[in-house]
Amino acid sequence: MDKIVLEHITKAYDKNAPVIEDLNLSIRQGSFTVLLGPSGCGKSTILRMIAGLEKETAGEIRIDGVSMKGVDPGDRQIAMVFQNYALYPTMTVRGNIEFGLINMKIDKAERNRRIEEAVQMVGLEDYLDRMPAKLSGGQRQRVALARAIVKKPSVFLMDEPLSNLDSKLRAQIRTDLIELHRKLGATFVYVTHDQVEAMSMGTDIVLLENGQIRQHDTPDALYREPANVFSARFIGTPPMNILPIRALRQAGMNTPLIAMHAGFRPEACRVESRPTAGSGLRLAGQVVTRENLGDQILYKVQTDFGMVQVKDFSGRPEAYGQVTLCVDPDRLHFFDGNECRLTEKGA
Amino acid sequence: MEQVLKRIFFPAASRVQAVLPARTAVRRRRGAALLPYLLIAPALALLFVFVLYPIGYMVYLSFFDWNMIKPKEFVGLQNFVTMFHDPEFFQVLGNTFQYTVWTLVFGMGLALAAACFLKKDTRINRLLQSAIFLPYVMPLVSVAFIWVWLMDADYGLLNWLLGLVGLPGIRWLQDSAVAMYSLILVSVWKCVGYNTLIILSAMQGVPGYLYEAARLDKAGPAKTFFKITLPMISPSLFFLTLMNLIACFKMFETVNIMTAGGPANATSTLVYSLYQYGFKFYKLGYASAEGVVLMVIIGACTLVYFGALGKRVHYR
Repeated sequence: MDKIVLEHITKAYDKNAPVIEDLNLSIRQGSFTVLLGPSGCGKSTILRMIAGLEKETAGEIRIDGVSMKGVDPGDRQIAMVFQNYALYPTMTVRGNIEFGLINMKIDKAERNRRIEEAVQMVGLEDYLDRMPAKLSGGQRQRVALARAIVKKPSVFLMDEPLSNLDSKLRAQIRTDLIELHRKLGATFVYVTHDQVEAMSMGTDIVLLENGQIRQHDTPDALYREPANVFSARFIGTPPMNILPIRALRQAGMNTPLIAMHAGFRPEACRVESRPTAGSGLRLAGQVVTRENLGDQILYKVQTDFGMVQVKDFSGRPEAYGQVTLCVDPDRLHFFDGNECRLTEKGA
Repeated sequence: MEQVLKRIFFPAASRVQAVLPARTAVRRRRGAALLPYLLIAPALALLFVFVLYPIGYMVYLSFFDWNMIKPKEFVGLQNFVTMFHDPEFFQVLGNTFQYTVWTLVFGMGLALAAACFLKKDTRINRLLQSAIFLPYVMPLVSVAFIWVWLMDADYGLLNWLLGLVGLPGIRWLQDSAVAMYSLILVSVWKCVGYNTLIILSAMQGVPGYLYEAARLDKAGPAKTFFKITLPMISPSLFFLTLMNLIACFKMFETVNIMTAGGPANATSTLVYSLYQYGFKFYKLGYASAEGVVLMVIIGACTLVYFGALGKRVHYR
């Protein structure tokens, strides 16, 4: 069942061109939906419209089938976690968590019970009487989470909540959020520009570009079956290598007639110092950089058809110089002139 | 430890020092210790000449009887005794407090209301901000003269306006029951713009996401104001209240020009009384004693204020 539905949503600021035009989106009940895209793609605006902090210029947003037109943010059964936490600096941790509950006119005993439950969930039991200024970034983010949890909302909205944290803490809170989502069973809508966050936490990913949905799928499908070149290039580190189709045709491979580009993931490719015979795509190139990450080696190889990035798990670093790249034909993707992926393979 | 750190951070200096004879090193160290005092000496000198010495001299004078011509005569605490037995002094003190309290209440209250009203950054609001700030840049003496005309019982604009709506005229500055409130009106009119501007800038400094968080937390406008805006701007309010408080205690110009302490001493304040005793009646000892009392009151108010409210002010 769809928890949140956005229908024909358009958003324009003042008299400027709309940042979002005729957007349709359904968010499944209980899903961890990630709105992913480069900065300026409108993902935060969508989240803020769901929250009621921005008014849609046209279209309708429904939560649980109820239109949200004219419904105040406080009455939408939602909780939001901001990028900069947005904790009230003049209130203690308890005050911050309790503020919403007091406004919801929940009695003291119930408030205390909920606060206790929430702080236990995020591990903040000992910090209830501290001021936010006396907390670390990670602790503040936990307070913001607790503040959202106590309200027992049916939808959690999160606007890049991890981007102000260091990478170690980010990884930790990422797993905390996955756990929290599973424990609460609520619908999470999470905005980020970081594909690692999206892939690791999301059950559904909505990939956006310039206010338009480029693909709405599961992380796995997004990775294995990118709908278009944008998806293919946005997801994955390093991203998918996209070559002009003539690279394959010159190598004598069969390709779909309407294909204009071919792509393959960096890990779908092997680096060989000496050309070997075999099926599949063979590309000659020059190693430009080599990064040894321990479990894998990343190569940047200059070929006649552009730069190709390779992720090698063989554990044997190849010397700088001339190499041959071998790509398994089953792992090639083809894209047409509109940069959409072709489902039928030509090889 | 210090030597080790010095050697790490200033290797060249420590090397030079090691080569120099011991006596030179000692002299140099002494010179280095004196340098900070030398640098603050000009500021200290000014502070001493214009602040500390006059205060000290005022306290000293309060124990003497002196009219600026005959030699000073030591009278001990006699000036204070006379003062505390003089009902007029208590009237003056009462006037001062009355003036201060009402100016503070209305000056801050109206400024807070105006700031809330002008918070949104629009062209009209910017114009209104400048308009409301205008009285502050005018010299108080000119302001006082203008208000004397406005409040003229026979030809003043205020009474003319009252007449237009069929109300009887008020003897703004001649009625002892009204005169003090007329002065308070002028004072509020003068300070409200400045207060508004400070409060406004403090309000505009409150991050917008806090208000968004409050909306998501279902907080109404009143709750948002009292729980978020007010605590967030408390440092500015604290500062303004203290500044206004001190300015009110020291108020002089408007009284001097508009009422000269009258009618029947109804508007005489501590500083005006001090001025009268000092420079009209040439009782400098008594005037100094009043000055000491004023200083003690302001000092006490400031301390109490810091003690009572300082901890509740939220500094980011």
